Amino acid sequence: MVQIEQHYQYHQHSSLEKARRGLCLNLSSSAELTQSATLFEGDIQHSEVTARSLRVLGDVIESRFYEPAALNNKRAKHADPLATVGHDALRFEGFSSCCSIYARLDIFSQGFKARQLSAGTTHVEFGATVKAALAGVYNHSPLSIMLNSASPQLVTKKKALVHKQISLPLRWIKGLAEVQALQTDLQPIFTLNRFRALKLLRQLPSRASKNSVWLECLDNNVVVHHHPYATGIEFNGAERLQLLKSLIPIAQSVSLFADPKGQLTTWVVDFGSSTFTLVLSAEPARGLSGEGQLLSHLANSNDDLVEQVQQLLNQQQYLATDVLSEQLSVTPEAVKSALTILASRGLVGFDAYQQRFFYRRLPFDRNLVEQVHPRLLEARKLLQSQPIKLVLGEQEVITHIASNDATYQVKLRADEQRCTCQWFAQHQGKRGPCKHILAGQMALREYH
Amino acid sequence: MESNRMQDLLPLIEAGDQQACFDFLTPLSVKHLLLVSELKSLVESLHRERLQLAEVRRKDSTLAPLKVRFQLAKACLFIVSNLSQQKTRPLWMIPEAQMLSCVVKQFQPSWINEWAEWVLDKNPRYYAIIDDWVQMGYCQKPQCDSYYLGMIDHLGDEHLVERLLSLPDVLAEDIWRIFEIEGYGEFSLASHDKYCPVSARWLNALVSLSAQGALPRERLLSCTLKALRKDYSPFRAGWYGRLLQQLNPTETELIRHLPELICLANSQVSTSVALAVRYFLPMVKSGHLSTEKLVEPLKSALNAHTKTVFSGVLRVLKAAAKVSPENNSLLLEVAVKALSLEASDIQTTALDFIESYEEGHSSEIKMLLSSYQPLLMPSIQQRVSQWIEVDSSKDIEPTFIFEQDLNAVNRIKRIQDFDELLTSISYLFELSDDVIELERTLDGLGRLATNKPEGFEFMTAALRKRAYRLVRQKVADPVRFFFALMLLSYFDNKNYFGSELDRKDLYQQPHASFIDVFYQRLCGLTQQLLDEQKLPSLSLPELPSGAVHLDTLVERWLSVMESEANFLEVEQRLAIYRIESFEKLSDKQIKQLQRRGDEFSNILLFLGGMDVQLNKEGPLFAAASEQKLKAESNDILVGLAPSMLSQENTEASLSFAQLFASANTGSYGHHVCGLHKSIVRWAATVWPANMELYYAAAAAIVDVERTEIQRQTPHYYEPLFDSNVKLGPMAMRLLAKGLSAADFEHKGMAIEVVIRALAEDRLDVSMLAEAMSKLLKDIPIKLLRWRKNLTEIATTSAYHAAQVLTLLKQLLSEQGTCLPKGIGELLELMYELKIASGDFDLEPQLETLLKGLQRGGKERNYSQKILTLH
Repeated sequence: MVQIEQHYQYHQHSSLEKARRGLCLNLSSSAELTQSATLFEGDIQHSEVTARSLRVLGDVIESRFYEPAALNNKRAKHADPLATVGHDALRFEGFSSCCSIYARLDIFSQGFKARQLSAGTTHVEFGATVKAALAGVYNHSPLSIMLNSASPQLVTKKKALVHKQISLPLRWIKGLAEVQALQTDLQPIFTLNRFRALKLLRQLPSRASKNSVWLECLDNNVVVHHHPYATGIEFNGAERLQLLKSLIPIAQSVSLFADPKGQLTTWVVDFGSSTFTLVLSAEPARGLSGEGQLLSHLANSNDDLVEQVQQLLNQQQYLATDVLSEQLSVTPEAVKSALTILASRGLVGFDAYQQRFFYRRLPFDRNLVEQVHPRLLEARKLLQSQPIKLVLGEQEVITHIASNDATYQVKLRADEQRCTCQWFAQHQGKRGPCKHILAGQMALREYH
Repeated sequence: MESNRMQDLLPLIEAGDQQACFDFLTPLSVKHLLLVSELKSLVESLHRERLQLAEVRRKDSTLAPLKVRFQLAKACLFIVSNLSQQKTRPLWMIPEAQMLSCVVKQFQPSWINEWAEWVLDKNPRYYAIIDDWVQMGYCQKPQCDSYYLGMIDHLGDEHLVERLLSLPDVLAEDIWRIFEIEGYGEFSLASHDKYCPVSARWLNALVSLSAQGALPRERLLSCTLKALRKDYSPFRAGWYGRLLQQLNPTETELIRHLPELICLANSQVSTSVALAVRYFLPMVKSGHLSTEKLVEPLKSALNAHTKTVFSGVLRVLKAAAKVSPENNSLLLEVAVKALSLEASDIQTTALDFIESYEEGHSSEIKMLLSSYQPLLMPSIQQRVSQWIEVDSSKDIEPTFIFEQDLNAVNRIKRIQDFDELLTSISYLFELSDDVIELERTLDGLGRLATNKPEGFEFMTAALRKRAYRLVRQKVADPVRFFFALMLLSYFDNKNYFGSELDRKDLYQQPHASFIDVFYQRLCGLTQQLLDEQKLPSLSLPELPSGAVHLDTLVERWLSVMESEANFLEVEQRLAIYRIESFEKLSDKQIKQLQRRGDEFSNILLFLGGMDVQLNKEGPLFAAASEQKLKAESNDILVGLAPSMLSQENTEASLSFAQLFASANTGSYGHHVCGLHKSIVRWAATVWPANMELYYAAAAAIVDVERTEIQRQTPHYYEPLFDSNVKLGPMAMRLLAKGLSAADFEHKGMAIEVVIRALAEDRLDVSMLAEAMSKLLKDIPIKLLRWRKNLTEIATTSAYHAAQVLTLLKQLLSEQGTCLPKGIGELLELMYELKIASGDFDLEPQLETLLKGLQRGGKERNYSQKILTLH
């Protein structure tokens, strides 16, 4: 398996300083990832909302809701959040230690007044000291943010430069790319005002619980069921939602988006000029980086169209599928599929609340992203190592694929694929196809 | 030559000559790859030898020289290895402290500083060794957090204060680092102080040192507040909170640290917020904290959402309103926000405050109040309705779409072909808790497995591999293990039950349980498969509840030739228990059964209402008579062993345990249905017509105070969701326990069952009240949980609220004059429900009871309120 080692370092610690016009959050960014020394400098409209959202983002990054036996009683080393500066929005994003939660704060253009802005994506140092300092930011204290790779005014001769070297976990790289694409199939379920949302939060468990709950929205009121409920949304690891408890009381609304298979839920807290998005995997033990629903897309992508869409990326901040489909004279579904693949390559992000893609180039080698999907790599190896014989039936294609001293039967139908391997039996296709199905699909594509 | 070096070194290690070993290794250059690998093998082999010896001959004198050799080998390995090699090894490969110090002293590795940080990171308890080295100048003082976490652990003994006083460097510098580090697991100030004697606690030591003047109080206060602001986990933040309280800051100190306290009100740890709010009060009273500065922190504090914080905030509000009445409009906004906690007393105090300072009923406050409506308690809503128009739209009754009569729509179909059988096997290897699929597969195996298709080995190779792996892994789930063992036997054409691979001992309970029954059944079915007997499953359920109709069973029995009907006894008994309805048999069926005349045919005739001669000593007769008699049979069993009966282990659970037990004299524990999800679910399908026994067994094992161990048991509630299931006394007992449970899953399941059963009109609230009342007499119950859970049920709909009110009335009436502690919680709910429903009537018995209440507080408060309504 290909390993990606991504290191980044800072020359100073982030800090919250008293400035002429209130407080200034000086976020130290990774020098090697930015072309200009200052990516962003500007005033934030809602100080308390922003400060609190950033603290919650920090909490998400430090949190761990699933502890494998190997990690028992050991401290996890946390990565730092990624910041993206765009003309339309300022974004901060990151994953929990267990990788079952992805969080993103989007501050839209109406929420800030930029004095200096240079588009790009970088890591920002965000330690306990900054988090603690942000607790002192209230609505009446004006706040400005500065994203800096080196801040000359703070580096004096007496102070040595701070070198904090961090290694970006591989699963962050996989997860960052994958989670955007995973959200594209989400459907809106309900939107609650903050009081209803608070009520819901109090009905959900605050401690780890193995069993799911089912959420049913009736007349703007959400009923929590503890047993499978026909029209309810299954929600496992609900204790993870408690991370939002300090944001909901100041929110305008909270919306839930879920995918039809019940594999992903996205909670969006709307503050008006900013949103806080929390994406939760199907259960805490499942990291978002390990999901494989996109593997079929990657294995069977229309490379030409993907390339055409990619060429248009730089031209617009937000990517509307209908506009792109008109430009390229293809169906919106085909554009969406191409954008999904680009999302999985770390080239675009997806805003579930506004249901649109946005341009965001992740700061690492994107060509490697595809190679870190072990199932895809294994499938390619299987395809190369043996001649795959396809038995073409009326409704299904059957093939037998040998792997690790056993042979697995794969059935490919238009609506579903099946395999006799353990992975398929365990997940029943909910976590994407197994390597045998992928190999079968690739063989079928080659045949056609 | 490398190999020669090892040959030369080995005798020195064998002789235990430390100095000779060190002298031998001193001139060697750093690159000794072969030597490193050979020494590593030697250390591993000595380690194994030591473990074996320690196990067998613990007090043997050969252990001591072996220990010396072992330590010496480890020291040699340490000397010849570089830092990267050291980092790949487990900690037990590091020599003991004394030996290690000798090595470091003599060889002074260039990488020792980095190694010290690495080893501390792995285990902070290496602090003692590293600190010695620092004192002796062997290495520099590590700057990593683990060094200070190790210091907390190492210095924290009964002489902590004296030790700290004797270490001026620690007092001057190191001690302040412990405020910057949160720690983890057992390495934190909170963990250390929790599990040590009072004299060894850091908290007491720091307070004492501060009092003695050995630690500057100002810095201590400042560091404590800084630590609190870092939002450590509530457990660890609690330690700093307690320290601050013990330091008992004066008003002048509080004023000096006001900015930090204001930040603390925005903390995400509720205990820290409560502390900040507590310290606001004296400052507001003395006029050092103005209303303008106070409002935002108080609003933020209310996000903490605990009663302590809310009541603290309301106290501060009252004080602030007295000090500066001109800024009341700002305080009113905070008071309105305090309505967000769904607790009557808090909302009442908040509304009292609003009413006393908001005489003009300003439009802003009205607007704010109306937005909080969803969170207001009924009594508060009634008061608020005088100010604003109450939104009645929320009273729209929700429509629930429960899965009506699952059994009617989900009739179980048989597996059709070998391909489907393989798919089911593959599925069950991973998800064995689908017990109906398991029954289908057992039936499919009986019918289809003997006709192995062409390419059988090829088709089943992957499944065989998986079955073997599951058996070798000894998976925790007994159903999964025995199923895999059965399939492995089938694939290999060799019965593994009773062989080395059979690890029945791992799953056996100390008493008779359904695991034994399941084992017997699979063991027998395996032999039938290997004997190539083609037999369908007699007991295959027709419905998800596990039920079979009598005529279906008769058809199954008659469909197998008399000479071939070699069904297992356990299978026949199971089939009898699964019969749910006893339809009259057709004349043709009666004739065919009479023609056969065997024991099972006669039993079927007996169950079909025919008068037949039966063997009254056999197990089949016992099963059939139990099925027919049901309730009466329980009375018979009560007579058998009355001494065994406790509150839940009634005749019902006893009978259930005896269901398949080999002898009536067996011992019966609580866990007759096992603990794993799959076996619990399977046990639920055994006697669908008499589920009360199952609920009795379930009620017996639910411990209302446990939250972690009984994770699997919430599955006991699952059959209660079936709309066909009638809820008898034992089901009520289980629900009463569920409503009392601390565990979220238990209470969640119980609440859900009550909501659904009420909506389906199959729950008699008076029976539930009776069960709850009985439970209250049997075990201590936290009535706050009942209040919360019943509130959740009541908020479902007006109908549910009315039912809960009826339940409460009966529950209170049944208590007599001696009311349990905490009954005020239920009175509070009763009062709110009465307000919401407008039902102010009070039964004479209840009225007398409420009038006679002696205790004060919530109990008296709400009883008076209820009486006033009446």
